[in-house]
Amino acid sequence: MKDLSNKKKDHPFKVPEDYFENLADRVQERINTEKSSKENKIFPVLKPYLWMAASILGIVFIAKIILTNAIPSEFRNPKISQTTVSVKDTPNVVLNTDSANSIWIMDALPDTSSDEIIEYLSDYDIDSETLLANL
Amino acid sequence: MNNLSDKEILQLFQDKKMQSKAFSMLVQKYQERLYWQIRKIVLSHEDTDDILQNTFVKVWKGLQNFRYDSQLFTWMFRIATNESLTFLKEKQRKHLGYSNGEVEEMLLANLESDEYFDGDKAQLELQKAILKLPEKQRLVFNMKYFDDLKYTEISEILDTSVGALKASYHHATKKIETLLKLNEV
Repeated sequence: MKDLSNKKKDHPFKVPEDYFENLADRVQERINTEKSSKENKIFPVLKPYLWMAASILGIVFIAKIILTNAIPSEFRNPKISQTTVSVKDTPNVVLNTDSANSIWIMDALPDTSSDEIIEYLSDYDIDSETLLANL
Repeated sequence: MNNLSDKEILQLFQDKKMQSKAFSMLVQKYQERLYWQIRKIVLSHEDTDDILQNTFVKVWKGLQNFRYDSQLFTWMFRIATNESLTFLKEKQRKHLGYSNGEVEEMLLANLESDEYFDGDKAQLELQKAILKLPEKQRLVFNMKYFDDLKYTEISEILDTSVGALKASYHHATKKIETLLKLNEV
């Protein structure tokens, strides 16, 4: 028996009865367990980010409510809030303004002279009270 | 049920509804060959069972991207071999201070007490001699001597040239014969 070629090549090992019969099922079970544990791991990882996003949204929502209530009612006048202002002789300039930023009209029309603005106001018959109320 | 070729099983696996069935076919087709490949490296049945299941889980994960660069069988064999070697290294790491020889002695002690070892005295002596071989020679010897794999297949599994494998097998058989002579088996 000193020469390997004379030795029998059988395995000296055995396996439990029916071991190979249900191996495929056990492997499949293990794969399913790994899959579900992987899915369960995703939520804990995302949880802090979801909390952060929810907090930011909450803060934005509360800030919007506070700011809306803090703006004086004259700045929320529906009559002027969606006025379209077009300036004569400046056909390319059309401004959609709301009450809060209407005071910036002068800044938005740097090339328009005072005379042109006065002419526009008289043409459209806007009285001084309306103008003052919307400043 | 399992007369399909590897290619047919892989095609079936691409269909999400048939994936589990196709994989089950694959397991049944290769489970025994992979089991014995692992068992000859780690010797104990319990460890082999663990490693075999790990191997199939890895096969499942990799099968989606498997391309026929190598045969399916050699690819699976390579995973099984790597898993077995990783297991042995892990065992050595856990028992810090253990040398390679000591880990192999532990494997041998486990083998002798393993209820699923059925060998006679001569077969036990042969296993002892195989355990004394360097890792690569042990792998080559097991695949060639017991499984009679072709050198080209072993070459693909171990990523080693055929010439180097032939030399390894030759050295391995000589060493084992010498060891068996010393032990007068």
